[in-house]
Amino acid sequence: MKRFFPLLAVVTLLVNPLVAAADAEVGKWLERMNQALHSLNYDGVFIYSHHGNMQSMRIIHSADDKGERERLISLSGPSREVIRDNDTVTCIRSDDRSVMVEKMATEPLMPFSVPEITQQIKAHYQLAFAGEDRIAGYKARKITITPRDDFRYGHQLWLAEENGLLLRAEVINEEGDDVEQLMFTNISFYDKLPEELLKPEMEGEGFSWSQASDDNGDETAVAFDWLIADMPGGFELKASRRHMMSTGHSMVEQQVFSDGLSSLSVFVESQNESNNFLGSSRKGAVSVYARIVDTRRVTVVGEVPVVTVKRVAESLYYPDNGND
Amino acid sequence: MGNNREETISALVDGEITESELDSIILQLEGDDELQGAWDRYNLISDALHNNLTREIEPAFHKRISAALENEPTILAPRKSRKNPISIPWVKQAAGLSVAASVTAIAIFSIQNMDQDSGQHPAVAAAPSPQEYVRIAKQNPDRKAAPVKDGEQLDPYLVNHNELSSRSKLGGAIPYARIVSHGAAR
Repeated sequence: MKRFFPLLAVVTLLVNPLVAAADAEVGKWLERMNQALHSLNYDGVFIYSHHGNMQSMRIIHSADDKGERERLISLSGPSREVIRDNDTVTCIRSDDRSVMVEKMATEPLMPFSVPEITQQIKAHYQLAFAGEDRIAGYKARKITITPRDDFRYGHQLWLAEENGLLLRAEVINEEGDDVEQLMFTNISFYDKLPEELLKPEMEGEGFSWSQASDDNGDETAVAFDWLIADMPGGFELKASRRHMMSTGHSMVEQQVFSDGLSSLSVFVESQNESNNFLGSSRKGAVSVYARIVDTRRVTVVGEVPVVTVKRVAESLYYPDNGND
Repeated sequence: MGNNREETISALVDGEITESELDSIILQLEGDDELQGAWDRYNLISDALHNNLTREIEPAFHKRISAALENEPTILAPRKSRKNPISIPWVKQAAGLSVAASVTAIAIFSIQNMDQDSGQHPAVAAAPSPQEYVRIAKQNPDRKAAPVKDGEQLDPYLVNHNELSSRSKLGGAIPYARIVSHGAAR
């Protein structure tokens, strides 16, 4: 037994710095990806698939002195469009003839430190390079991100060698199957996007509109009277707000928890008739779990496995009421 | 009654059958298409449960199975049990009947079927070919939850989650694809 120790020590010494170096290098690529996502002007078509469903979409993203603007248009199936600018997200669904507008805070609620987040990611995922590939005609670097427990999904990312933009992504569940895939088939980069590309195609005339009230409520970090007893390790509170959503008539309390890569939101509101969803559900990599606690509706949404949102929802309690 | 015979078939697949039943069911199997169908189904279910199925996925499967189910909404569960379709199988299992593993699979199927048709009871019977069942099992790796319906009920939560969370993490995928994406239920 004893004679193995020196060998083990040598191996440990050799491997650890290497692992650390690879981690740091991958971390830099993630930071690059994040910057590319928000700063580049591009117009591309990608395939999105989940649960054996496959669709094509077009994304147009611009970042200039007016800030970021983005349009996402479905190219297959019912025509749908999401338009984002600095303070609103508009979802137009021609199949339901509905338009949904959500107001967003103009200022980031919490300072965003990319290196700090990269540190946080490393604590809960193993990062590694996995070779080179070619996506949409661009040379791409493949990165694998493996979770250290079952409360989060794994990821495979393909980043453009020349600018770091995410060209392909897969979300992998605990069984190693992909729950969601996205891959660009074609993308063009611009110094400045033609303005007409950012105009919505659908007019929304005669559609039913649901709009979040302009009164955004208390957008600052607020404290609520409920707590989560059993938050899986690594998910830290990143933001909380009380505001009006397009869903109902009452204020919704929302807290966001993130491990740097995966995040989940806890929504607490009074019950309303327009929403009767209870239990678990999912769409692509997003899981949802809803339950009633006393008179309130609790909905947990996140790009994490169902077990995670369920655990969080089930462990929400009101300490002062003496119930759990 | 068909359902007794199906129970016997289930027992046969699970290897929990007496010798006298064995002789009789084999005689009945000969020349009985319906019963042979049940035999195929239970074997597939058993294979699905024991992870003996192939991993291939064929894209058009969802649509086809859903169409087939709509056309022939045969309920596999015993007719008598309709009053209480969920608990009956478990009661039977507890009572020591040998429906065993196979029934568990039906529960799984019923959840998976929500992917295609909302809220209907598990309609497992009369699929075009055994090959199809392979697909259901592999289609939804996360078996505990049905995919979100197309309804926009949950979309506001997704939007609000995306918007607030994107400020506190690295942008992994393009989260709005999930909102533009339409479900299978169309």
